[in-house]
Amino acid sequence: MTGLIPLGGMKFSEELALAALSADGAPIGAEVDVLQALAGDRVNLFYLAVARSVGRTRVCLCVAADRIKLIERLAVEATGGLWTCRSVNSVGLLTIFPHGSRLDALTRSLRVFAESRLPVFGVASTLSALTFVTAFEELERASERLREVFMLRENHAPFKPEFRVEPVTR
Amino acid sequence: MNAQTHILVVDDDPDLVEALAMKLASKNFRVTRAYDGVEAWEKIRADKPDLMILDVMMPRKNGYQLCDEIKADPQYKNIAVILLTAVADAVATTSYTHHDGKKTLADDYIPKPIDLDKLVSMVNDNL
Repeated sequence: MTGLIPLGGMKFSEELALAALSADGAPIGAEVDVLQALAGDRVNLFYLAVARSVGRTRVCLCVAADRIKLIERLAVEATGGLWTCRSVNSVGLLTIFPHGSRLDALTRSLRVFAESRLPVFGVASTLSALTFVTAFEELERASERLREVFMLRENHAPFKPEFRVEPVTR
Repeated sequence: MNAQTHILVVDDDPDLVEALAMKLASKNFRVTRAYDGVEAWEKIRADKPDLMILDVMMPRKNGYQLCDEIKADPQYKNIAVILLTAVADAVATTSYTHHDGKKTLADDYIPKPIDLDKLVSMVNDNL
């Protein structure tokens, strides 16, 4: 491993809950019904991953901790029992940016999580950022470990959110 | 327009920053990036841009504050500022409005979600 990878910033989410939904034999696009049910209740999705393999569809999503019961009800009951739901309480998102399209940003991060025995419930790559879903109580430790392989710029913004975006009631 | 025209893109959403930067770079602008209002000031002082594209809701210093400070500073008031205003009618999760943006001294305003072609046209109009 050579040199530290420069970073513009790192962000923590608020405390979230993760729902891992799974459906065997679901028709292609079955996840759309779930997402429409969530949108109908104006549920903010902080993280969403959809995967399909050999007839099984899996949807992994993170929502505000107080919304997890609603997810279980909407996803399972509102879709006629097609989906099963497994929940993990108290997870958090750790996002680093920009990754600069460097593949070693991902490999080094995953090595840090593995060597530090930090749980990884999900990983997402976007145009500019890498996001890891981990235990909420481990966000600080994960951040410390990551800063051993990434160089965060001086005077960076705080990791924790300063404001919370809420739906406007009209 | 040439590659020496310098645009600073400021938003706490790194993906939006990158999307805007890629679009503007494809039009031969020189683009720098900042992810909050404090960092934006550092970038402005280090390398004064010709134009800024500035988000409103950001940590440490929001876009309205930064815009007001720039326009009150004789050294930097000639930087054109385009505010990214999330219009409450179009974006369900904000209480900021286009009207709020118009109360600042920004040179122009574009609502989120952003029409990238319209933004490029707006950039050219404000240079």
